[in-house]
Parts: sequence; structure tokens; C-alpha cells
Amino acid sequence: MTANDLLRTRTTRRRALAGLGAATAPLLFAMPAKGQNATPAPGEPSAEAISSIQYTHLEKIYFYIPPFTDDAFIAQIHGVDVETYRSIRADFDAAAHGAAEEMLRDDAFAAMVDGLPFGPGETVVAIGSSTTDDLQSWFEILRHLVAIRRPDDNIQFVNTAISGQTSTDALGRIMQIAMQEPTWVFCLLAPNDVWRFGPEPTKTLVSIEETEKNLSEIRRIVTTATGASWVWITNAPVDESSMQTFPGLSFDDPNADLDRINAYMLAQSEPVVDTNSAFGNPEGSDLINPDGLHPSLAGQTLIARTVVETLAG
Amino acid sequence: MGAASIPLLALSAAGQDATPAGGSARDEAEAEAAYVIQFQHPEKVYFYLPGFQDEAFLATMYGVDVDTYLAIRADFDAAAHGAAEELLADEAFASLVDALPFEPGSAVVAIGESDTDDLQSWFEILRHLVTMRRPDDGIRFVNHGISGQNTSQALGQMGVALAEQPTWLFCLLGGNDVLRNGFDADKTEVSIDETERNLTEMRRLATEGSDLTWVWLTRPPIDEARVATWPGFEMGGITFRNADVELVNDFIARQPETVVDIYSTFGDPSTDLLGPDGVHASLAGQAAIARTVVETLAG
Repeated sequence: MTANDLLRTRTTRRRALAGLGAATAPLLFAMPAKGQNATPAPGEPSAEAISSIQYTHLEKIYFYIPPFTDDAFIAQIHGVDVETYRSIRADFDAAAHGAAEEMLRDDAFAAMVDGLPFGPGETVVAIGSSTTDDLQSWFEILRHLVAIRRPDDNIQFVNTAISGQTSTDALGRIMQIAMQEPTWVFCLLAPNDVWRFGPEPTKTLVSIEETEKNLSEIRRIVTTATGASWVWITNAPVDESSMQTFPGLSFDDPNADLDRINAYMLAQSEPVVDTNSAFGNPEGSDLINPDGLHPSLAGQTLIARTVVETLAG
Repeated sequence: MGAASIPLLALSAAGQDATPAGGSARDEAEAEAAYVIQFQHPEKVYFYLPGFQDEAFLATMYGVDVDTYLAIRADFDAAAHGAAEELLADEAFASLVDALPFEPGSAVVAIGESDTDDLQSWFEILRHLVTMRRPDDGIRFVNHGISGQNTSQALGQMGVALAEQPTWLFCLLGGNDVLRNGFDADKTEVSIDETERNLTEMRRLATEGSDLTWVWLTRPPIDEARVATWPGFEMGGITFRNADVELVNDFIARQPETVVDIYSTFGDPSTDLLGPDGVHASLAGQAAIARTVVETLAG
């Protein structure tokens, strides 16, 4: 294929998608969420760029291709300059830090953070999708909580979550995850399993039986290889009443599908952080972004709180 | 196969098809870039992100300048073209290409994995065969192979393939589904029941209310002996079993549509139709797949 063919193909595809809408799995939970950010001033990054920096981190997937370790290169992916890229990342980090600081104003909660069972020098790993890959996710807030309260304990937090991944994809990456040699693993999978594709779909992207087998195998491989302590986190509900629609992709009673995955987690012998119960009724909830799918900063904060209360409570 | 997920190909490529046919001598760094360029095309998945719409960006991604990037792509294209020319030296075969049931103006799309995404894959060879013999028929070939994808990912990607409005759709999937991750793996990346459900759903989405012609390709065998000694797989904790490949092929063989039986063509997996990792087809293997496609459809 010549370069011209390549460009022509891409143009054709873009044109086709403009009509049909972009409907591919990796977009799930990574797609620019319209309406979440105000219209930028001239010269400011677009809402799409901010959202893609918040959720899409190809450097975690293509880490073995050298340019993906270069901020300037990553900035290009998102269509912004490197200073803008770094400043957007810093803003999300500041948001996670701010959420942690606010929670720590409550002395009783701060004492629980002190009581978290993470030992000095231990490695805490998260496995998940966009809810965790989010630059201001519960896991980033947890990182700040622990860093603020226990700065000398040198506890490492490794966020291996990848936006858009299903439990099958997480199984495909399992050795990379095990190689982090975690002492603690938080597993928050897999809302992407419950998407349905095309008109009158007959199945979810990953069937519930397969999701269960994947979760079981992911846990078995990591805990056998590392002896890590395993913690499940149930999936937060989605708000169907405000859910952003993606042409070609649909849900059919997504909360029922998510409940099936959550029921599997609740039936396991390991600790379960029950985010789903903590969220309560999703309809119109400010714990969920206007896209109806992703937890808002308030929702992420609630997940972090529930993690701390479950483990140290 | 290969790797959107685990960098299987990055691990496994070393030593494989080091210099594409027609390629000039290159330094080691360039040869490494060539492996990645041969198999890894994130721009097919992430085309909606601004960076991936720029050729200079892609060259930077592969660690080479634009001219080198284009030259490497051209080398693989020349290899596919050369394989097609060699096949067409046989006149009986050339007349089979003339008789392929692709109508003028049709769109031929392939969904697949690394052995289709490969810049010198069977599908690229097929494109050259048809273009050389039937240059005026305006037949469009779209390679929607994506290295490393499993059938759940392929199901989520069907919108992109169907947006091409294919009249013919070739499906060569399941190779990543049978991959076993982690030592003593209890399950394949996708269980066979789920693979069957995914393939069935993809075919339904493509064919329901459409004139599209669906064609299955069976998976080639894997050479368990080569897989076992391939450092990349060992490092990645990855194993393959031919018995798992055969389960996928058994399902395909039971379907009512045309089946191009690559597995039989390859026969004994210890031949040079497979590359040194024992999983990916060599250029000779890719040519054998292209030949089998033509013989099945026009024979």
C-alpha cells in the first residue's frame, strides 16, 4: 500500500464514520465526552483534547515503542503542544490532590488512611478501564491520600488501567500486570464487557460466563505469581436517563448486566469494595458525568472513600 | 496475532523476515523499526486522534524519518508484489485470478489479525494479483486486519469494517483467542464457546439484509516446537496449542459459507511456511494463503 493509498483509506474511513458514527471498542469510555467541558477560548485546547488526555493513554499500551515515553510525542497524539499537554495533566493531578485534601479535613477519615493495611515499600496495583485510567480517578486520589498522610512509607501506586479494555483484554495483558510484583491488587472490571454492537445485537462484547472466567483467571495468575492481596471493586451504575449515545453501540439494560458482574465479585472470598451500593440511584446523580457513564470527580472521590472505609474500617 | 495488548510481535519479531525482499542492507535500528512497521498499525484503531492523521508523526513513532518510513513500507509492498508476480508466472493460476468472482467496482475487505495486518500479507498479495490481471475493474481492497486483536475486539470494530460497504468479506480470526497468557494458563484468551458466539455475531451483523459474501479462512497450524523455543513467547509467558487452533477451525468448517482451508494447505507445521516463531506465516506462507484463496474461489 502506498502512502497515498494509506491516506485515501483513512479519508474514506473518516468520511464513512462521519455518516455512521465512530463505533469501535477502543473508543468506549475514551470518546470525547461532549458537554463535560466548557467551550475553550481561542488558542485554548478543545474539549476533545482535554477529554482524550484525561482518558486515553496509549503510552500504557505501546510502552515498548520508544517515542511513547516522550511527552512531546504524546502531546502530538492529542493535537496539543507539550506545555499544554503537561499543564492539562497537572490540572487533573491537582484535582485528584484537592479531592484528597478535602477528604483529609475529616480527622476520623484521615485516621483510617493511616490505618490502611499497606506496608512500607509495598506496591499497590489497579486493574481497570476508563473509570480507573481517568487522570483524576479514585486510584489517583488514593495515591494522594496515602502520599499526604504517609510520605515516608514509600508505597508505590501503579495504575495499569486501560480505557476501553474488556476483561478479555486485561487477561491479554496479565503478564505485564504480574511483572509489577504487586503486594495489593485492586480489580475494577469490566463495564466494557457489557456493550452491544450493531442493530438488534444478540450478545454483549464479552458474555457474562466469559467475563467470570476471565476475572477468575486474572486473579489466579496474579495471586499465584505474586502472592498479592486481592481486592474487588464493584462497577458503579450508569445513568441511562442521560447516557451519551454512540451510533452502532448500545446497551440493553446496562445496570442489569453490570449487576451480574458485581454479583460474581460479591460471591468471591476476597474483600469487595461495593462501589455500586455506595452510588445508590444513578438517575440524575451528580456522582456521574453528563455522559451518563463515567464517574464525576465527586463519584471518583466516593469510590476512593469507599476503598479506604472498606479496607481500614 | 501479535500485539495490541502484550507486545507479542515486538518480542517475537527479532530474526523474522529480517530483510524484506527487495530491501537494501539496513542497520540494526532500522531493521527493528521495519518489524514494527510491518505489523503494528495503531493508526488503524486510533485514526480519530489528531496525531495519527499525520505521516511525519507515524514515522516518528517508528523511530525513523519520513523517507525511511515510506521506503520500508514500499519494500514490503514490493515483496507482496513480487510474490504475486511469481504466482502469476503460472498461466493456469493467472487464469484463475481472471475468474475470481469479484465484480468490477466491488469492495473486498479483510478482517483479521497480525497475519492479515502484515504489510506483505496474503491480502496484500491478493490485491496485487487482482490489480495486475484486472487493472480496469476498479476493485477496492481494504485491509482491516489489526495485530493482536481477539474476536471480542473484532466484534467492537465491525463498524469500521462495515463502513467500507464491503461486497466481499474475508474473515481470518481466532489466532489471538487461542493464545494462553500466563504460566499454566487455565483458559485461552477467549474461550472457544465465546469465540464461536463472537464469529457468529460478526457474520450476522455483516450479512443480515445485505448482499455481502462472507468467506472464512481457517487458521494455519502453529509449530509447537518452534513456539516452545522462541524467547519472545517464553518472556511473555505465552503458549499456544494446536489443539486449540483446531477447535476454532472445526467451528469454521461447520459453517455454510465458503471456507478457504489454510490449515490443510500448510499441512505439516514444521515447514518454512511458518516463520521462526512458529506462529506467523513467512512470505512463502503468505503466498500459499493467497494461492489457496484464489484456488478456492475460482477453482
